[in-house]
Amino acid sequence: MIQQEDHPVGENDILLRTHNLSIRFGGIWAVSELDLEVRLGKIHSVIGPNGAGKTTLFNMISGFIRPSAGEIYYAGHAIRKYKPHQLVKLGMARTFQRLELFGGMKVIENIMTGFHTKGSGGIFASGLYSGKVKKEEKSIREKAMEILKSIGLVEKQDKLAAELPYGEQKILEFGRALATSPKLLLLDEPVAGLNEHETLGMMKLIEQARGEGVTLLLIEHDVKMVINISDRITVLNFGKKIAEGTPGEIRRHPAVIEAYLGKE
Amino acid sequence: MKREDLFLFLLLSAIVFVVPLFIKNSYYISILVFFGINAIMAVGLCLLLGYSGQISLAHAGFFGIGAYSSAIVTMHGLPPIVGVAIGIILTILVALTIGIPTLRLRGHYLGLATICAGEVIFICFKEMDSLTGGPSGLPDIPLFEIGSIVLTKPIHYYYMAWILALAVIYFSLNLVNTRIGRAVLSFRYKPVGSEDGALSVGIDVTRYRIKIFVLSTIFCSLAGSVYAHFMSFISPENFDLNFSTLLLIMIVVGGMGSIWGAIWGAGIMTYLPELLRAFKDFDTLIYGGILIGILVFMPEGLRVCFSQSLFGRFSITRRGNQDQKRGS
Repeated sequence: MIQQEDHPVGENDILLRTHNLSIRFGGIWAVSELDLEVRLGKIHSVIGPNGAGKTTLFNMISGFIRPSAGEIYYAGHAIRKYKPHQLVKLGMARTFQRLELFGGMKVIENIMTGFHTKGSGGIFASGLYSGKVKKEEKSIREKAMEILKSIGLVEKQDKLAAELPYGEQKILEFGRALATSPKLLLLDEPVAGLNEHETLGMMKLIEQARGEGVTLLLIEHDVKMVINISDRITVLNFGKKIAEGTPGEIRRHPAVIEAYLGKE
Repeated sequence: MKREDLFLFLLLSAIVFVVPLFIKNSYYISILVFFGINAIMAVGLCLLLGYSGQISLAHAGFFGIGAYSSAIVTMHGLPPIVGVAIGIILTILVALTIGIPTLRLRGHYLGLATICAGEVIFICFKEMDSLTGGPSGLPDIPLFEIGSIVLTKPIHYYYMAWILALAVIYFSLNLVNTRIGRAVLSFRYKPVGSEDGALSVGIDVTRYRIKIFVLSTIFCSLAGSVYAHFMSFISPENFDLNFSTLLLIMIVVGGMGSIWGAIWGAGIMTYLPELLRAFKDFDTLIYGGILIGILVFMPEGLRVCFSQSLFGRFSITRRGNQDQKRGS
């Protein structure tokens, strides 16, 4: 029984589950008592007005901030105290609302850095450029090229990431997250600031990732896009879940219309 | 290693072995020995500051640990190579002791913390009389020897310093172009890198901060060992905050963010004081003026000015800034 309590995820198809998840900043509960379930292989979206606690939720799931209370279960692990880099090894990747690219590195090097956890060469082997490191570098470069092909940035591979236009930077960050070969990919406003054409491109990439078996959890303001793409939607307001369901259900949900959609 | 780096490395190696054919004057050879010693340290500090973006004002202390270890060990009759090894081991221990708590700090705070750490090491040299000879220093350090080969002349130390420097440069040029190098560069301050971005791809930032710090102190310790045997006399004043600052100036003047910049800087900062001796009392004034001039007119360092076409990577920093602003 205790075993089951510790690992409530894994028997079924739930990849990520939060239980009673809460965090307080000063006197404000930014997220309170949130229960969330993300199913394997689905696209799950979290929407809500500004300040609803969406990004805070992401930061807690991905280990960037520690919750004040509650627990997060991911692929059989209770991950409340895990650090971001440990979660990457468990197959969790994320992007950021405000881009966190390596601007001084080339586009291909950004992707190659995404493969960090796949390599094993240490400082001394790397400094001496041993045969093993040489082989590893070559294979990382090849794999990075494959990702660049799939996201359509091959021609830009030798440009510095900081020199790319905003839309391509967003795509690059998505590609870098893919390079970690994630099971669960958290996308923080993947189409914010993109024009219609770029949005369509990003949606295609997201669906392509799902086709390859990646589970996606995303935050988005673009309601049209969310309703089009999501299998399931959770609506947050003031840190609390006010509704959850399929896109069709959410559209008709009175609390959602009042809090969010009604203002559109 | 990139192709242009390999070319420059081979060029530098050739220069190192050709120079002694033309320069016989032992005064100039001595300056070149110091250049080599400084280059070893500057390259290490460049990995730390130029790549990982962490400042250290304690590096003279690690230079000193290497020097004192070599001096003390050989003065007790043990072979010099043992001194080098003990210096490295001691350096790693001290670097971990200092690094683990202080490398959580950023920017100015890290700078201040490392000043204090350097000062503590300096005071140890000064106060541990029985071991270090106290403020008056350690005279009569034996010559360096490996097996039956004893290094007696400056030219011997020239080869020793520069072979070591070439090894360190080779190592570093390789390192920065591998997985480890990318990891170390990735968490540099924005917009060149991003700590959150590094964490999000699974880079254990804290660990790499410490690793690169320790690596750069090992380079200093090696340089210290060469210095002690070459000078045959060391005193705490060689390893004070002024020297840590000088090391920083070297990589800033040469051009931060590039191994070659560090070498340029080490060369200029070693030779400039000698060059200015001719000006007698005005040397400090002119020295300061030149430094200010370099920082004002060539803020990206001399290297960028000399070889803009070959390397472009870090000269974009300011352009990157503009893009970032437009983006957000």
